[in-house]
Amino acid sequence: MNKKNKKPNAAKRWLDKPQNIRLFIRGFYCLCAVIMLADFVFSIGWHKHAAFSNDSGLHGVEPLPAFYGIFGFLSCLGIVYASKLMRSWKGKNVLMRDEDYWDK
Amino acid sequence: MNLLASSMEIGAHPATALLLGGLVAAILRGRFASATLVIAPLFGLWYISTLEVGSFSTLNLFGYEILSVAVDSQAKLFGYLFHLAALVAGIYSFHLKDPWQISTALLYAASAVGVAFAGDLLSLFLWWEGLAITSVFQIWGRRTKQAEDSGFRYLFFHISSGLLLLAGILLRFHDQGSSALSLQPLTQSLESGDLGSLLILLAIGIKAAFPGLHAWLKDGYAEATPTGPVWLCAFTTKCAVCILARLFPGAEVLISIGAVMAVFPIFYAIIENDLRRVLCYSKINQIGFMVVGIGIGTELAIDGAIAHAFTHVLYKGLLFMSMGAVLFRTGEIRGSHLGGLYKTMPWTTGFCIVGAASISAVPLFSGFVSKSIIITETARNGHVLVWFCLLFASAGVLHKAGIKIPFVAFFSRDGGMRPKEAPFNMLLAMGISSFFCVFLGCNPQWLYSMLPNGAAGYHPYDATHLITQFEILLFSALSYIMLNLKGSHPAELPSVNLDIDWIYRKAGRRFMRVMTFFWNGVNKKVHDVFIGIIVKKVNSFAKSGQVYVLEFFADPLHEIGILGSDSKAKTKARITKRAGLGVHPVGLTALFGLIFLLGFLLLAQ
Repeated sequence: MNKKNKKPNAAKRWLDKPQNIRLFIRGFYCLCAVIMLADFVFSIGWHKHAAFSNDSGLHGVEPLPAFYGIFGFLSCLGIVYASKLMRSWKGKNVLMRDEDYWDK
Repeated sequence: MNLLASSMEIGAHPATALLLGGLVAAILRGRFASATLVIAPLFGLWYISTLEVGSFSTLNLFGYEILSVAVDSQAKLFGYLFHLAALVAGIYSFHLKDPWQISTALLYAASAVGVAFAGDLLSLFLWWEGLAITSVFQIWGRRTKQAEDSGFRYLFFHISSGLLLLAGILLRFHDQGSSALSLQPLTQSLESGDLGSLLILLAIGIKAAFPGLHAWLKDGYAEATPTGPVWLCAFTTKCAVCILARLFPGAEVLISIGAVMAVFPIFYAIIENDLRRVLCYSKINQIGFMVVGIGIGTELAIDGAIAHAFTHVLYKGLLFMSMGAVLFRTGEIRGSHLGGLYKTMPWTTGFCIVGAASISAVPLFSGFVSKSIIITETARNGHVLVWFCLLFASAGVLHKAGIKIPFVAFFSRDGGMRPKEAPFNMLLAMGISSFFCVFLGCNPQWLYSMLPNGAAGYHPYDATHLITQFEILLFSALSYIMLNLKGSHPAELPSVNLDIDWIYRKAGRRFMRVMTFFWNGVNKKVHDVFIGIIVKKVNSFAKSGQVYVLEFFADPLHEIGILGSDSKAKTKARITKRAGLGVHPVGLTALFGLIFLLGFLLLAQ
């Protein structure tokens, strides 16, 4: 699944080199850190608009710093593991079938 | 009478340009036919811009007055959108050599414009049926057995939708007379349990791919021609959204339906191997956002739904175009077989990334300015659970459409394919769409000013919004990268996944097989007994019964001496032979008939 695969004779592209991929990923981690920092600074120093009105239970929770980041990260983990279970459960296929399934 | 120009206020129906284009394309050949793909939408676009809000046109048909066109700002917006989509898809399909496909594509676009401008339910119904019939050629155009079967399944759903719509209209007409034909909101009558409104909602629900009614979408689009989904994704479902916003604004049930639509396709999209099918699932997910917006029903939420329909046509069309180009060049669309195409298709890669950024609602791209209205309105109206669903769906859509599509097709492991870059007309079409994706993302006021309520007071670009949006996107992407590095992201496997279509494609077939076995078995048994045994016996009795009877009586009668003076055996043989030939004089037969009758009479007493 990694971007590292290469053919011996093909012209080398920037993305063919593993160190560039590592660079890319490291840059991405930095970006995540920067946005998290920005969220904290903005939440403490200024004022975040609450999406929910006062009477909602989430009024106090949603504007907390990192709420969106944690939610996004966890939901994606959840999606991936849940969809793996949709494919197969304890070694048995649940929803996944062979490609010629419909023609059988 | 000229049916198209029988108007009182406006000169011609807004769909005229596309209709004529479609008809003309059918008789032209080669490049001339292709030229209509560009000229017709351009004319139509110009004509829409001359229409004034509030104008209308009526048509007398069989003694009924049909409001065939009613121009309001929503209709105009969709009019622009459908013409723009037709223009882009037309440029994209410019290389087609098949005049039939070109012609039906333009007629399909014309039907969509007709739906957007329909003034009452009757004219809506006519265009609605046109939409069903003209669209299926985008699937059949592939000319494979799978496409043919899939086209019939597609048609089954859409004809059902038309019939349900008609049934709903007739029920309402029966109850309320001609006032029921207007395109006024039916939300209240739906919530008071009116069957006609329910049927109409169901008809729209099929076209909008409500959960459970959605299987035609991922089935049909994935079997269509490389250019087909670019047309298909622009019109059918957006017509449904357009009519849903007209007829059922604020219907509570839509909020739940939309939330389910936004969430469940994500799981399917992650494990789906056919990349166009991944786009189909993400399309259902995006329509879910619109349905939620319509269900909330505030002015801003409806505006958000319509704006999202507008941007969605552009970026989803763009994604389908990039996948269509991949299919066109490589003949392959399964994620397990693609990868590394960025080396030879850099432009397509770039445009695909723009589309992916738009669908993921990255700020400065078009999805952001429309989707955020709906999410904000959901929160403002206190739908906590639905808000979580939509946020979850936003994270998921980045995962599956935003990253998976470009990564699997163009990067990922190198599949070894080195196709040529997409043809110029495809690149141009993708370029135009990309331009609009970025332009509307950077200048949302252009879009907002066209909306029915002008998206009053909404500003997508404030600091809170930007930070939270970037945060959710980046951390969702982070999880993708970390899972990939760990190797625990579900791999692309050559496979298909069961969906609701299992019911009619497998269970239905199995049911058919069982029923066939059972009833044909019963039929065969009954056939064996009646035809094989009883008829045979009756036949043999009718044929040789008399012989046995006469044989039986031959000896006693010979004893008495009325059968001549030959020997017993000889007489018997003679009687048998003559009885078999049927040459006995009537007298003998009549005698036995008499004896039988007397016997019956005696027995009966």
